[in-house]
Amino acid sequence: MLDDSRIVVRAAQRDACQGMWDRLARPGTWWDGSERASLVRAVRAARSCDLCARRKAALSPRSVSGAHDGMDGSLPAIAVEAVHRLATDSGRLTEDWYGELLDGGLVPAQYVEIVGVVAMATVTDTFHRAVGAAPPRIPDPVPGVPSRVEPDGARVLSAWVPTVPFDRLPPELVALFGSIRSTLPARELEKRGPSRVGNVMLALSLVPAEQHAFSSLSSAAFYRSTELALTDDQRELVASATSAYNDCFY
Amino acid sequence: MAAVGADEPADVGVQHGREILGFVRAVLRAEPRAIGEARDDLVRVAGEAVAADVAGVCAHFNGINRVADGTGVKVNDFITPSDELQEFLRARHGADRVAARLE
Repeated sequence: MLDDSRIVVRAAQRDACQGMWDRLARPGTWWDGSERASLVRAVRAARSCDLCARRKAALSPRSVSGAHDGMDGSLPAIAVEAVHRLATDSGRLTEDWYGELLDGGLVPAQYVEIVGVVAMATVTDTFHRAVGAAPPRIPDPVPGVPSRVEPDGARVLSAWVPTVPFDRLPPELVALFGSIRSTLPARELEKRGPSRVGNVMLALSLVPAEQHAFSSLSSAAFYRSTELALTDDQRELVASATSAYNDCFY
Repeated sequence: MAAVGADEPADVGVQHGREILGFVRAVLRAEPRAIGEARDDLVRVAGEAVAADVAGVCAHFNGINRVADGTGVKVNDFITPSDELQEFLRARHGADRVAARLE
């Protein structure tokens, strides 16, 4: 992976991409390996989807109807809708739209896993594109059955989707967030208090495996690494510019 | 905020800011030729290590933006945006949507 990069990438960046990519076609918590590979294919199909392009150009995405490109029957249509909107127009998603996905048959944890898969496929493909490497081949699905285990204590707190409060997090997430907190400046910790992390860091906690993978691989290697060659101002400029381009509210 | 969203990369008072913004914009627009040119420009002034880390931060935020907006997370009270930024967000996203996303 990344052997054809036009510039030198750090080993941690390569390992993070490999780690995220390898797990994308393994059985998840709510989707099996074959379905997760199909979710990644749908992320890529969304980028050239005619319906998504017309919706993106419309004042309101609701005003445009049709079928998404790349529907091959391997995923429910409602999951394809979720992937395509997340991949192409995430800045205009609404709680009503999320409610329609649930009305259409997705359960919240299935949706949260989709968000995690879309996010990690997006990180990996974006990084490859940026450094001039060819996009990685979607891995062959690994057989196995999703565990379908939901964490205790999840409820709607700080997002549309249920999340797990900090004091009910599984130990592996507590340990991970503890190590992340240790990298924060003192003034930042003072504002947050003894046991708080940003809501966005708990956003996927309904599916702890996805939350752990995103935080321990993408955040750790690409954003919070102590090896970054960027100044704090440069790092925040890139973060702000990317979020502004995506119309991300957060 | 206006500078990072501008059509042409502007001088934003950050070292190599113009080249960084040019590279980020090309990556997000997914234009292969423009990406190559912008990456070369950034490598020329700042080196490969900076370019690789700009690529990484951009990639990470391109993913985490999907997480934040896809799950509708509220902005924590300890990172509530300034009055000026809230005004910008209300103009861009609408007052109701902004209110719903603040803790």
